[in-house]
Amino acid sequence: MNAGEESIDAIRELINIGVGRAAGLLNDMTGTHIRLQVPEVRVLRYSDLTREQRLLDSAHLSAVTLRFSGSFSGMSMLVFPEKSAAILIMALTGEKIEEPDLDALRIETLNEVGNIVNNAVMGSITNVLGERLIYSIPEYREGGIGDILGREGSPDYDWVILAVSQFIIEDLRVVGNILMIFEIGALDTLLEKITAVMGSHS
Amino acid sequence: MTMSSFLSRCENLDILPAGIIILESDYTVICWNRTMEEWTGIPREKVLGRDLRDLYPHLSDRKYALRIGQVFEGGAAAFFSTQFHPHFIPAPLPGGGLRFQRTTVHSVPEGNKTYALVFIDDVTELVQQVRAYREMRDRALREVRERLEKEAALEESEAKFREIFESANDAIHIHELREDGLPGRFIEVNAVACKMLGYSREEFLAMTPLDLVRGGHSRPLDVIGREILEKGYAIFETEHRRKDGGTVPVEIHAHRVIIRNREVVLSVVRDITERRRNQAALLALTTELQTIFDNAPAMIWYKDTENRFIRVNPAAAASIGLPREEIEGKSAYDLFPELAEKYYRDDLEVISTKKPKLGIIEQMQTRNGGIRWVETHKVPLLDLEGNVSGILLFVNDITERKMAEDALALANRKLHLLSSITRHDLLNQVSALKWYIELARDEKELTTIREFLDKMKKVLDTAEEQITFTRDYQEIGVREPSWQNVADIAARIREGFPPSGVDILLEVDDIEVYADPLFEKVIFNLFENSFRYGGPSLSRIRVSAGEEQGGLVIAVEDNGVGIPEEDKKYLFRKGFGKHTGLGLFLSREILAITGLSIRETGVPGKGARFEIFVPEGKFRRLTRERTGEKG
Repeated sequence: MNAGEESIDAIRELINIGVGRAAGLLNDMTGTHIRLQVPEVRVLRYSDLTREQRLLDSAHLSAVTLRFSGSFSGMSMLVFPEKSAAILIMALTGEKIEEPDLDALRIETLNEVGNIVNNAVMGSITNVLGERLIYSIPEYREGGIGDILGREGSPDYDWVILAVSQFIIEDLRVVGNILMIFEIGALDTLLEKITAVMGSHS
Repeated sequence: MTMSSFLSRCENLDILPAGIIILESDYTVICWNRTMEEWTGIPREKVLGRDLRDLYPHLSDRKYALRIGQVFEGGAAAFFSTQFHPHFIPAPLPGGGLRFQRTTVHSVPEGNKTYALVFIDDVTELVQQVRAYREMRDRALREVRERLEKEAALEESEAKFREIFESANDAIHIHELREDGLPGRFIEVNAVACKMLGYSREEFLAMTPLDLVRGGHSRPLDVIGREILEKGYAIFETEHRRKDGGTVPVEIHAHRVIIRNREVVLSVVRDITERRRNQAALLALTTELQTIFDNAPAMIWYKDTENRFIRVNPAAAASIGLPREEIEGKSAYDLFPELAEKYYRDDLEVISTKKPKLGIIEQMQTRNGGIRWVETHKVPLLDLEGNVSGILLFVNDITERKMAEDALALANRKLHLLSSITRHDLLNQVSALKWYIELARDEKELTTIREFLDKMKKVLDTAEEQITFTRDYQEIGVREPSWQNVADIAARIREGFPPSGVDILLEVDDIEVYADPLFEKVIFNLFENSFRYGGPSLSRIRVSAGEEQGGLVIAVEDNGVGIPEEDKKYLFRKGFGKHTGLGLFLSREILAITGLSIRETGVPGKGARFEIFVPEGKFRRLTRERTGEKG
């Protein structure tokens, strides 16, 4: 992989655009003022993902995944620590509950939030690149980082774009992570396309 | 499979339990399966070919339009959760309400067109289950939290109890409670308990409270046990045995309590050695005070601050002739209606000044209306706050002292008067004597001189009489007056006269009069006057007594010649009479010392009658009777 700083900046920009759209949709949907920020975007090896202790070291992670295939293939994933996910859902729905936990309905709600964020980010990228991809049905997973990656644990994955996102609802600040996991060569293809688009616009 | 072939089999979608809608990019409905028909009650004929947003305008909202728009552009499926979109296509339930739905909108590309396949799951049952689950879980959580709070409170309570248990000044025992209410083994004791009796905690726990008891309890043990079972507590005293053999008197407050779901007895055990000592001292003091109270010759009255008698001693009760029970609780206004106001004024002075008021000379009324003179000392009784709670009265009967003082004062006054009269009389005689001496000195006629000498002798005789009179009179008031029995005096005098044929009748009860000791001479003088001046007709002298208005009349009468009317007004003048005895003048003076008086009421020619009037308070009746005798 040969990711130049400009390409990373472009990816960061695309993710920010997608996240901004997602925030707008969530605002419309919930009537709650929500801001979504992406303070950190990094590219790392898929094999190094399990060592991201600061962000992903929890035995109880909740993830909403979206697999995509086409000119570049992989998986987009919004990951929260389980408690943070429940707190976020409660903040969005205004529920008053004794104990923040994730039952079937809340998982569904989280699924929709993940669906909105994943779709917005992927839509932002594909719109700019003029690409059409094929998407799977959104899927909810939970467990440790190994569990949520497990089914996709084949060596076909190569690089990962890790975008740290913050959901800010009034005084509440919930951190989630957007993972864009690419199959071998897919990130290179994406970067090439981005470079090409940037070149055509320069 | 192409969309056209898919649609050609659209009827196959009717078998799905989910709602299926297929839209063209302008929301024109091209598929509306049977489930949708059933849920909405709208047959497909009325939906197909129509813009779905006309039927369900909310789908035009941004939150739907943007996401469904992405789908038409080939984006990933849009997922609409039950939480945010419970009724994507409102579908009523048979029993009322709307179905809860979970909706996914998929992109279906077909040639150069993209369709949207709307897949709607009915999750009503799931929602109900989750809600039931949430309710159950919240309740369970509340119960757990409440239990935790109770446990925390219990722990805190136990910690406090432990603190109190160990920091108490009294010994605390916790022991088992037997079914009969009697104590079982010790379960716990505090450090004070160990220190009080000298046993270690372990030694305590091997015993029962009954092992500690020496002697008995203040009440029968089975009664105490029953009280603990029935009332939940009992208070009693006993003595506990120390490990070194000594004993400790204790007061025990035993309470039935629940500790750790177990019914036990918690006893607070107080060492009352000091209290017992104080009680003994107090008892001794009380006994002493009671003895003084009961036997003091002085009257002692306890009054409250409202002129009411709270307690009185026997002397006080006797003084007014009522039993104590009839005095205690009564107001002074009931017992001494005429004097109560005056008494209360003195009380109020003591109450306001909080200082004793001593030496009050005042009168007190007896039950039969008699008046006594008393000297009263009033002392305020203060409560612990220093407020006057009552008044203590020490009262001495000074009636006799007062009478003696009065009599003495009168005697002194009379002696002074007599002294001046006698001096005047003697000086008259001396002047007369000097006159006759001067006449005799110049007289040459022996016969005339002899006449002067006779006159001089007469003057000297008169002077001698006057001097003799003063000797008798000086006895008046010299000695204190006393109570004298009239019948005894009269009998004694009667014995002193030789038999003369005159009957002396004594018709007097046992009456005592308060009079000068010369009272006996007054009676003697009256007897003697009867013998001396009664004349030949005298055959009877009678002494009698009877109560009249305001006092007693003692009558000494005879059946002699009586006293001529013209003499009656001079009878009690000094010097009147045919003899040089004490005379009626002195008799009157003697009687007046103690307030008695005398008068003559006889009828001339039929006998003399002298009445001595003794006012109330100056006479008293004795119990024995005395009958008249003849001399």
